[in-house]
Amino acid sequence: MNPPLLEIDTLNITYHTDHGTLSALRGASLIARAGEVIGIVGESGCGKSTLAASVINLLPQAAEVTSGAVRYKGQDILRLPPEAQRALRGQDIAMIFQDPMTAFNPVLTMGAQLVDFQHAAQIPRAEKMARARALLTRAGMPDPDLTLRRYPHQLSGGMRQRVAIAAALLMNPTILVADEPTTALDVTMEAQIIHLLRDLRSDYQGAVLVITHHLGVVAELCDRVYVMYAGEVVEEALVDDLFHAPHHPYTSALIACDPGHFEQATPILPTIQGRLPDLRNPPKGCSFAPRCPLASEICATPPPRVQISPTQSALCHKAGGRS
Amino acid sequence: MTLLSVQNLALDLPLSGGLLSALNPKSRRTLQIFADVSFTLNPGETLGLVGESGSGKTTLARALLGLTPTTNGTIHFDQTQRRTPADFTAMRANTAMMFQDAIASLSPRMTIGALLAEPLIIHRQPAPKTKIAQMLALVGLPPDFANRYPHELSGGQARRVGVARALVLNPKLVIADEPTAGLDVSVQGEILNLMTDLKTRLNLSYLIISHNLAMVRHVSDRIAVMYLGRLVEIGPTRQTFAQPLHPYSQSLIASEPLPDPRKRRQDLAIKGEIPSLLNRPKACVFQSRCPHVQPICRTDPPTLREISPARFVRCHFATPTGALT
Repeated sequence: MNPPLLEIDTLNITYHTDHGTLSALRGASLIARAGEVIGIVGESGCGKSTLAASVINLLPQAAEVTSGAVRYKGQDILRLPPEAQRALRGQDIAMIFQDPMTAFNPVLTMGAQLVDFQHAAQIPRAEKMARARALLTRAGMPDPDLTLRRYPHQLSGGMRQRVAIAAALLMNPTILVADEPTTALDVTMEAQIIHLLRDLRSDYQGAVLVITHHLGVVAELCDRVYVMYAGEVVEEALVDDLFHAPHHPYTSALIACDPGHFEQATPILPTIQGRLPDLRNPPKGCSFAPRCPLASEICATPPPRVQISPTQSALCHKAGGRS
Repeated sequence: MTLLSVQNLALDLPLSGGLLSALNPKSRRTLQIFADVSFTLNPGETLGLVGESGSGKTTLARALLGLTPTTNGTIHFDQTQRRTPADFTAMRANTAMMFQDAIASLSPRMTIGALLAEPLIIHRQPAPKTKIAQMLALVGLPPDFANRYPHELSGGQARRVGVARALVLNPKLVIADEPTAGLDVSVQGEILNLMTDLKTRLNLSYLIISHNLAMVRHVSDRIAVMYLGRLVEIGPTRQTFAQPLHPYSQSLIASEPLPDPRKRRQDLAIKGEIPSLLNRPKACVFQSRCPHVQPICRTDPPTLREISPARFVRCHFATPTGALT
């Protein structure tokens, strides 16, 4: 098996807010190898965007890494000097943001920005432009020359997302982080972007991290999945095992809630009762226990990470047939 | 007996054309938002209106309640034609709208209690505190929420307030524009179950507008598919999903990502994107993206015709089996 390109090791991140200190990530770990598409899935407030931001160390001011490490090819990027971190961003680790409108400068043409993104490359401007054009073609833009002359507002959401993907691939990064890449798009455009990302895997040797709340996107695109709840990774599994043999009750509940999951229409949709725990004062035991149908007394104590198979684990007292 | 009947509804909006066109009204260009929209809604029925952004769904919803004037066609509600602003004001006492962005649709300076009383005051009805508490209870919120402000609510709670506000006038018809957009799946189910429960208890009719096919499929009795300002298919939900007859409905349903890695979509059902309203294709609106396009599609506009019982399709080549010949 390939050595991991990226390793997030028991990362703890807190946010300092006016209302107290909030534990956004609690011991989250993740490994990504070359050639893998990793899904990070969970509902709002589960910490998936914080986890994504830590990979590229674009955490907000109020965030503090209290312990743990993010290792890229073995070196802890959170402890590198700012210049070294900047050198990694875009070159080695690139990001596709949820809203491609705000990811571009509104007063510069797409061509100017795609050239700017290559500022570190020691090649003539014409060559940078040619490279931008080639990647736009690769990303499926119907008229790349026209696109290079356009401003962001002149492109539709789907087209901007294609340009954002081309921009992220410009410097041939080893790790591509896509934060909700299709959430802002309509279903027919979403299908096309999923198709494009899947298609790009064949000529891309790095690892892709897809952050999403949409289980359909995970099923279509990912190889391995990390399910997050209340700042913790509660389950890790191959995509097929996740959907067909989930071990954490939260994973099962999340899949059960997805209306896309039913063959037949059902008048009453399943829900998850209760709400997320207050992360200013996270529970000592299992954080899902108050909402869990399987919860018993033991769940008031910290749950173990149960290894179900070499590729699957769940943070649960009851996982793998334990009592 | 139908509750709402819409015939050939059309809306053109003027394009701003500068000073010269302001002086010469005849030269003013207009932009067609939607046209030839006809459908009916029965009491107690839920109609799902689906389509991509820019297809005209939200504008149609606003036009149905008289919030946007229409250029052509008729709207009958409760067997009475609604034409003038006064007609629509009277109609709005019996209808309600749930707006797309639940939090933004609530005025930030008003308490939830005041927001729930507002529709009653507008329609000159008494708004006692007991009524407010009763509405909050109906949507599963504690009575002390009456004193809270919108920013203190979560997304799901704001939706519940939206439902309560829609129902406070005891309407017959509720138009819900993207009722679950931006909600987590676990909360989405709660809101939909609440809406379904209230529908049976209060004998409501719903028009649910959404681009979320999986959701619409579970809550609608019939669905209407809209593309670039035209209804291209209307039919019972189950049959339409099992066997869509219009090529656009077919590709829309085939584009939805399924939450099962064993059912990955290998081929793209549709390429390109919805054209701008300014470049609406002539004749059939879908011809520029249709995989089955024929010369006639570029010359003759298809009409919405009944292909098999209760199933209406706007396509020259649609057949009851879903094949396009």
